Amino acid sequence: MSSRRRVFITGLGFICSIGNSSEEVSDSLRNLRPGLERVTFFDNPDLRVKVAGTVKEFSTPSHSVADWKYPARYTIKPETLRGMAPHVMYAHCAVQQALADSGLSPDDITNGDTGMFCASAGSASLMGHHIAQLHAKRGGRGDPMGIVRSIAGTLNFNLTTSFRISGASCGFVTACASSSHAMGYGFDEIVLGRQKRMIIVGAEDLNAESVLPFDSMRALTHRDDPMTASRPFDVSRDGFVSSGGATVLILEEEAEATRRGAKIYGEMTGWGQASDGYNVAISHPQGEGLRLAMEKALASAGLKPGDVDYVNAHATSTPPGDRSEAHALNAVFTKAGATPWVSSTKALTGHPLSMAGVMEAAFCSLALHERFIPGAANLENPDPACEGLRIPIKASILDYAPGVILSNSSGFGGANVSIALAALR
Amino acid sequence: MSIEAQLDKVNGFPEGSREALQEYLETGKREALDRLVVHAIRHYLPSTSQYKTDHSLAITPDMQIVADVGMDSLSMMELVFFMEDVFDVQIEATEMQEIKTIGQLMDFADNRLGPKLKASASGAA
Repeated sequence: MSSRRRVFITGLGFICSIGNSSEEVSDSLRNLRPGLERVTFFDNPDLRVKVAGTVKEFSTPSHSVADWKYPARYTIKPETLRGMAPHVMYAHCAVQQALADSGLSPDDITNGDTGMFCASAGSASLMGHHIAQLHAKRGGRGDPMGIVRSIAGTLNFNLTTSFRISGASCGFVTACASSSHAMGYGFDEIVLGRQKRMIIVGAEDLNAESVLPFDSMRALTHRDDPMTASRPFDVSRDGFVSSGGATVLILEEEAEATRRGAKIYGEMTGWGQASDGYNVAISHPQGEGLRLAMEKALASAGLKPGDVDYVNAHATSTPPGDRSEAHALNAVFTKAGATPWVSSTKALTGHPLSMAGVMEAAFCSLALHERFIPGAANLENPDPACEGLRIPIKASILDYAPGVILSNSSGFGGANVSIALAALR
Repeated sequence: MSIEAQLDKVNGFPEGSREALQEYLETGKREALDRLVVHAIRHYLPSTSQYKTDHSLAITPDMQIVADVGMDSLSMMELVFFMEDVFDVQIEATEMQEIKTIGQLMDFADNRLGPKLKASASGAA
């Protein structure tokens, strides 16, 4: 293999349902502690959606940033906050957390060698609010910040300017595969020698407007027990649990990471993507796109199926989606005689949409660095499609150091991404 | 819009903003409006301006809004939207382009908001 530039993971930042720091997240993953809570949207107790993966320590009770709260350990300039949606505020804090974790100062990322790729669906809540204002005034007046606060792209508009990024910046919109795409193309920026460092950001609001449209699709569970509502791969699964927050992962070229003696969680060794070309909202029944994405990720990283120790599945706890992924996993691994561990951490986190990919890749980074494999919480009776898969049922594996991990994501339109990660050995 | 809803528009503004707005709405006093204008300027100023954080530094009528105080074009648009929103008036961009100093902004606000205030007061009576 030619001497391709190597890409290391050197910083993590979490504002997610199972923790607001690497320590909290790691503890939740090891002990299979869910971050879901009972919620009531629109003060309407009759709504069938009862549980969500909530964002802790933050508060956004109205559309006005004057009413918003974030933990005192972070700093956001008031005029910067005014341009933000809730998920951008979470992400701003997660970037600060990741920079500190990586030993980078804010001035280290402004010289053009650092880029930032972001993924969110925008803020449906703020979009609705600003459009309603426009309607109320019959087009006569609107908030000047309405667009930059709300449209898909608000995450990259805000963060690249507030952190004075002068390298590459871009936003990705492939729904639940978005931040995996951000990570994949971020990897390419470094491999191609365009950037020395890429900050990957995934974030989503968690409010009525971000959650309930998925109930209109009949994609959400109506279970009311936060401990057991999300049940990826279980026969009794009946929909996903929405979640929000922000996750940040810093990718860095080997020479740069070595030069500054950075902490290294692991290596990103490749990635693959493929599309179902099948249905706007439902994954291919046999998981064809995801199978191809995993095969391309393995080829990109120079791996065989038997090299993989763990797959962090996309499985969100919907009946058709999890079944498709089980088929894809069997096609790639079982058929080749390989039996990596497989689990979906969404049993703990719920599904944070655009943010899922980078969040789960960050979980895998912790697993590589701290030597454990997250278990499959709430899995009691695996779907028959899982026959052949090796799933760590209802317990994490704490005495096993994974060497190679794949992290899967699938989004609307049948967009599939698989990320290959490896322990630094 | 109720008085309470109008007052809520200055949530998060510097201390004294709510009182200044309430006094202006109740009495129409120019001095209260001038105070509100200064509070609103400080609220919308970028953090790069020392006038945002250091409230002991006076913002006076003779000062240039951009050159001296440090407003930028986006923060000016936000200030205009604030005035439109709280007093339910429509302000054209061309009107704002003529305004260079804090004093001109205070005069403009008084000219545009004063009559509106009197109209709504007589309407209520």
